[in-house]
Amino acid sequence: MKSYHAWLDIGAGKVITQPMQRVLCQNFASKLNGKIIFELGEDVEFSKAKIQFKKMYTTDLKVDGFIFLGLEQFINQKKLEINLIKDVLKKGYELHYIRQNLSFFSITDFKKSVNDLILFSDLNKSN
Amino acid sequence: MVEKNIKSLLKNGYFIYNVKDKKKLNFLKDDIFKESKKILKGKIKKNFFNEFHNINISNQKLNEYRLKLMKKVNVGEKFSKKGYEIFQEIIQKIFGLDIVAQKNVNLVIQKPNDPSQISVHRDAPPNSDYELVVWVPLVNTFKSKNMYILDKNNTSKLIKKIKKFSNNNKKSEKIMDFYYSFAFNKSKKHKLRFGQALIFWTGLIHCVPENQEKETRWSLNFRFKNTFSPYGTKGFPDYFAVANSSPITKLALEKKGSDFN
Repeated sequence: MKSYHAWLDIGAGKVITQPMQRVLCQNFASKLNGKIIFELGEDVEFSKAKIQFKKMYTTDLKVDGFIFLGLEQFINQKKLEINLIKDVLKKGYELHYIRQNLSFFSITDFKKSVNDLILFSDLNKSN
Repeated sequence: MVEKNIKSLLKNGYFIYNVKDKKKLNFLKDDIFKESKKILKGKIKKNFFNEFHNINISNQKLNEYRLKLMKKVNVGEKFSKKGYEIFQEIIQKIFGLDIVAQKNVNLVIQKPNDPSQISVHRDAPPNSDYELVVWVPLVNTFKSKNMYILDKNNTSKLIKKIKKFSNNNKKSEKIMDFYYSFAFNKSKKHKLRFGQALIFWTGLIHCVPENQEKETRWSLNFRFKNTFSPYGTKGFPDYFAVANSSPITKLALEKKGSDFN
């Protein structure tokens, strides 16, 4: 069975509480035939910089990948951090985004979807 | 014909479109039939679509069947892609070359005398005002085996009235009664044949009456918008996928994509 880290969106707690987010992450993990072995979230003040996540994925973790609530957690200064997505995948981790029902199992998936990511970023800029 | 359609869209907020390539529409219908055969096994009857209600299936099982069927036909966005092919000409005329299509096509099955699906609503909000719905009946529609549409002027009148009532603190039951009766009385009841589609703006109110005929109504609905127009709560790429890109968008994506090679 695969194992994942869940990255909660602490800032979204007013609309979707942490226990609700936990249920969503567990449900998504089970669809991937996996389980959540640890959950984390960025401090609200530093969420855009993703300090915790960057520190985490650059260490040698014994997990298959990370599950996020949505791509929105990867937006910094109105721009999607596509290079960060690529870097995480290059390190061999999977990335999953519940809201977009978007899964990257490998860098090959990234190459297939890079245009969608660019469009998502550009559309977000104009909002 | 296309010019006439656009004129009607601007004036009424909708038009009836005659599908040119009926083969592609038949493909969708055949696919539903094939998948239904697999799911329902021996329960298939003659004249399957119109006589569907004669299959012995509970409402709960019907919903399970519908969800299974929708999952099957939406694999790889198969129906969404086919839908775009069918309506490509008119959709491009309305939106230009940069088009996104809703990934999952919705399938509605309305058996006779089922009051559970009666509704009066409009899609935007929460959908985008920059979006169109393509409603495709898979059977001929008539009388109450149908969906009714309120044109742009009547929709606007009704919304203004409802807002006024709400501001004057009218009882919600009275507002609702007025909303339903106005919508049903003033809506257009077009008879659509299989091979036609009702293409309407998301801002229009439409009504689903109780089907009191002796045949089941089947319909699909597709949604399209320009890739770069504002989105409602259904965004990209969660609900919408690129159906077509203009040459300039292709160039921009190629340039930006090279940063991630």
